[in-house]
Amino acid sequence: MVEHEASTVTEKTLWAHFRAPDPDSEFLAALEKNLLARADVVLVRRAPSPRFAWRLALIAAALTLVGAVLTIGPGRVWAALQRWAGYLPGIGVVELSEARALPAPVARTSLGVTFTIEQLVASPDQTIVVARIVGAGLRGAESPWAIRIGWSRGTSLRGRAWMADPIYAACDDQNCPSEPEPIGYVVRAAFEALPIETNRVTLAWTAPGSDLGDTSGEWSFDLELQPIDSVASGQWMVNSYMPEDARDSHHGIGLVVTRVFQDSQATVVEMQMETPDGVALPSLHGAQLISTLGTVYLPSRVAPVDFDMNPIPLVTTTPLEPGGPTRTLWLDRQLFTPGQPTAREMTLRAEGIQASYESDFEFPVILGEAPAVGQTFPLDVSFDVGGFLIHLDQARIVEATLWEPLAKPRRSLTIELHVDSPIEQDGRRLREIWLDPQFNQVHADPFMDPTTGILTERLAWDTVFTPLDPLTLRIDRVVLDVEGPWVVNWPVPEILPAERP
Amino acid sequence: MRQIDPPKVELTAGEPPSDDDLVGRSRDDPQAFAAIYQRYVLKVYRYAHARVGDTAAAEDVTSQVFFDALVALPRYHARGSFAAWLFSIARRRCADHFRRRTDPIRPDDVWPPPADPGPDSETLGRLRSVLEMLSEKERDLLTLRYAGELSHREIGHVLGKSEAAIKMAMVRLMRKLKALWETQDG
Repeated sequence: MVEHEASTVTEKTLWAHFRAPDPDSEFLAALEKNLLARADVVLVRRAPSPRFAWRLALIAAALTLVGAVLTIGPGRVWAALQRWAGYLPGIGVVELSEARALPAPVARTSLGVTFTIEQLVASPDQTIVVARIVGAGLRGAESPWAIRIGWSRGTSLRGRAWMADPIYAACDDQNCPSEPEPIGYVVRAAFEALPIETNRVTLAWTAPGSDLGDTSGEWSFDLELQPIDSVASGQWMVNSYMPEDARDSHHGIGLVVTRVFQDSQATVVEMQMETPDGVALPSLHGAQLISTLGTVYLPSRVAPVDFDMNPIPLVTTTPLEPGGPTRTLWLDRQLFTPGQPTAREMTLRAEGIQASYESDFEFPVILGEAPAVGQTFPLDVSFDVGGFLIHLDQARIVEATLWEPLAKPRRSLTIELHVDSPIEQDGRRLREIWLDPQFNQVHADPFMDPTTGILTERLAWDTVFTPLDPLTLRIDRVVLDVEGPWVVNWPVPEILPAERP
Repeated sequence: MRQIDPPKVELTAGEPPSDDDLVGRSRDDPQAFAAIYQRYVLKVYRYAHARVGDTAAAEDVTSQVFFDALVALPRYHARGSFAAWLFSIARRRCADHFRRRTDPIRPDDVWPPPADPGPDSETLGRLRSVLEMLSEKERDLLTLRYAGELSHREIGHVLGKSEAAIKMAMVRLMRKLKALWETQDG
């Protein structure tokens, strides 16, 4: 209840003032559908418990999947799963039946600006665009009204949902401007459905209020969409081969090469990483592709997987025995420079795999009534993740530049935690400790002192409000570099599928 | 290393699940996120509309808030209020909206006219001119209370203040509103 000091007229009027019109029901339904499609990918991370009958059915399905992997190979199972799930890189899960999409990205550069349509998918219930805009003078270019899609004069699809993530130029902490402008945006937008028979569309990009000048007003792209089957599977998927038993394992993390495509333009290696329970988002580093001819192929880029960064959690296998460990398979793809057609054997070598270890450890920091910048607080906090021991000896209040993925960098009140335990233990190296942000807190980039090797973790406050006392900090996950090397060998077919007539 | 198990809740007929129940179930069954969405989408939309001022931008912010919440949901822990957590995201998204604007911000942008003035449009217009005299923080407090329909405790979580501090701030703010209202009478 609102207090009675104000007149009832004022309170009643306040409620009336803030009564916004109801949102469009079509918008609400479309947003819910998009969210649920994304939820299937984002939220499902662990095997179901056998508490309910339907969960038993899921376990049976998972066991069937494991059997299928063992019988016909993980590559084929993944291909079938991909068709079933309708997962598109950079977009997520969409309904693929009767859907059409771009066969390849389309880009144009002018006046120092590059506009790339990474993908456009027209499904029976929505149209999704992923675009990357990079260049100077882009203020307002990420606006929800900047992209229009039509198929004939006077037609335009109505927008439903919009996400724009700014891209900032890399800089070190010493030389970063206090409020840098983004150098670009990755835009993901959902529109209403395109008419089912329409495969030729025009996408127009306008940069309202930008500094691009008169000639920049509108960029128009004539696009031709193709049935999704030939796009999602891709020609390289069709013309690939699947090595048998191409695997290696260290520290409980398995690496399996499941599919390889090779032609005069590129070599694509599709792989799966298998992690134990509580270990997530494995990522190769120091990856090289080596042929028997001695040529080393450096990865030219990471293939678009999940937001161009993360492997996709493929399936969690349930324990084969009660109480046994669960394992998660992660899909990843790497694009390498072209291989030599005469090479008869290939080797994928990864110096390490970076992985995220889940944690659930919390501890209080007693700040007192008026914590000030520069104040230190002694700690004696120990915990471990996956057998890796971590000790924190001090917390300190500082003011630091805060980098958030969806907002401009800014100065913010921050607590630093000093790690004084060994950074390297048993072939693993501590990279980051993630603190679980609550309410107005946000995780800030950690800092590693190159001379002392001391790692400093940071948690910042979104506002200038004084943190609550005592401050309870929770370790959410710990990122470790797991040393290898993982070395996976496989024979190359004498006649590559891509070379067949 | 301890494992986090989502709360397992058996619900009885007629008893609405709590927010934290739904969050816990969402981790096993993503479809449960639909119930969270349906519970909060109108409040978030109204809050966004009150802050950003037009339908398209409010839809934009609402979409971003729920996508952000979905991605961050595995890291949410039931120690405070889910509503407060969600509105913390909404506040940040509204702030982003104004940061990104290139044209000058007009009073109508930060304090839009009511969409449906109702029968007493003169009173509402008078309130609007009173609200324009408030600070940004004071407006934020009112928007969280009346558009977001948050309790004092939830507002406290959003703003990093105690429930008592919010109650006191609200009392003072309502006194100020009343004084400004009476000044207009004079």
